[in-house]
Amino acid sequence: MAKKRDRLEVVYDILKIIRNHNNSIKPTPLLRYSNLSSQSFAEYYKELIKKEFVKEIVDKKGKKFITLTDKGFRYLEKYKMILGFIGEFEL
Amino acid sequence: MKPFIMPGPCDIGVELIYSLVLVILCLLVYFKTKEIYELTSHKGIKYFRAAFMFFTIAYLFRFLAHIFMFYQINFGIHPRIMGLVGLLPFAFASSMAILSLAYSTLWKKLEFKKFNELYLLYFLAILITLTVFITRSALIFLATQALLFIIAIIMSYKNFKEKKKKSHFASLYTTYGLLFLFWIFNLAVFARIRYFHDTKPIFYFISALIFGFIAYKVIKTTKTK
Repeated sequence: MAKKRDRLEVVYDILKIIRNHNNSIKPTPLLRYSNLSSQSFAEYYKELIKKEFVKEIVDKKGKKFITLTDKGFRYLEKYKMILGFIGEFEL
Repeated sequence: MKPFIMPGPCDIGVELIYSLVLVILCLLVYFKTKEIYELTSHKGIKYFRAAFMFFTIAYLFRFLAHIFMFYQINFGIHPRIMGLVGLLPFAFASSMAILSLAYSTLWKKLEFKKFNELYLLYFLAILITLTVFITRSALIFLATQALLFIIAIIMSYKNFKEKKKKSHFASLYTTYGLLFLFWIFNLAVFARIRYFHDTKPIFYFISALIFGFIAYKVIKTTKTK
């Protein structure tokens, strides 16, 4: 059985999905690709918006898309280093 | 009551340089980890940073205490009483530093969902400080700090065992073990336990090297490739 993902990994996975979809994805496919329950996804999504990792964009037809902010890109860029730091100092 | 002995200019010079070096190293650790904490809000990183912030405050008070002593700034109060008053913020900051360091290794096993653990750490640090103030016992202070450090070392040793990877030399529990030895020595000097007086500069040098080693590890691991 695969081990449960921790919070940092789930955030990384969600941000990576958005980036891999040309930095623009609708909420429903994002929920599907993230492999989370609707409730967990809603909690993570709220956190990502609050921490300004992602932002919502509404197009001319009124459809909602999610894109990464600079902070979101920075998280992706630094993720491996962050894991290295946590491992090094056993935090 | 033991007679109060005023330290000489050379002693003060060593103390000032030592305190300043340690303040710079601790601030380096604190600011180098700022971005990764802001990105992750990771509890372990939060308490690790808090530990070094409180180490900074503790060394700043130590620095100020020596400045006051050297220039004989005592606001008309007897130097011994002045020393006791100066001990309070130092005891609080150093208790918070060790509590935070211990909690940074313990938080996964002891996570409190209902309240902010920081308040618990503040409460414990205030309790230690008041006990030291009421009993005026440097030994109680050393014993409580030693106990907290031993908890941090045991927890980092358990984490090391679970990983089964790194060498003992580079492991965190070895670093914390050394940090513990020299921190206790540092407290003993501050509490004016005179047994250590002659070997002070060597201990200071090794103590600065340990903090330097931690700062180096932080800089190395937070460098983006």
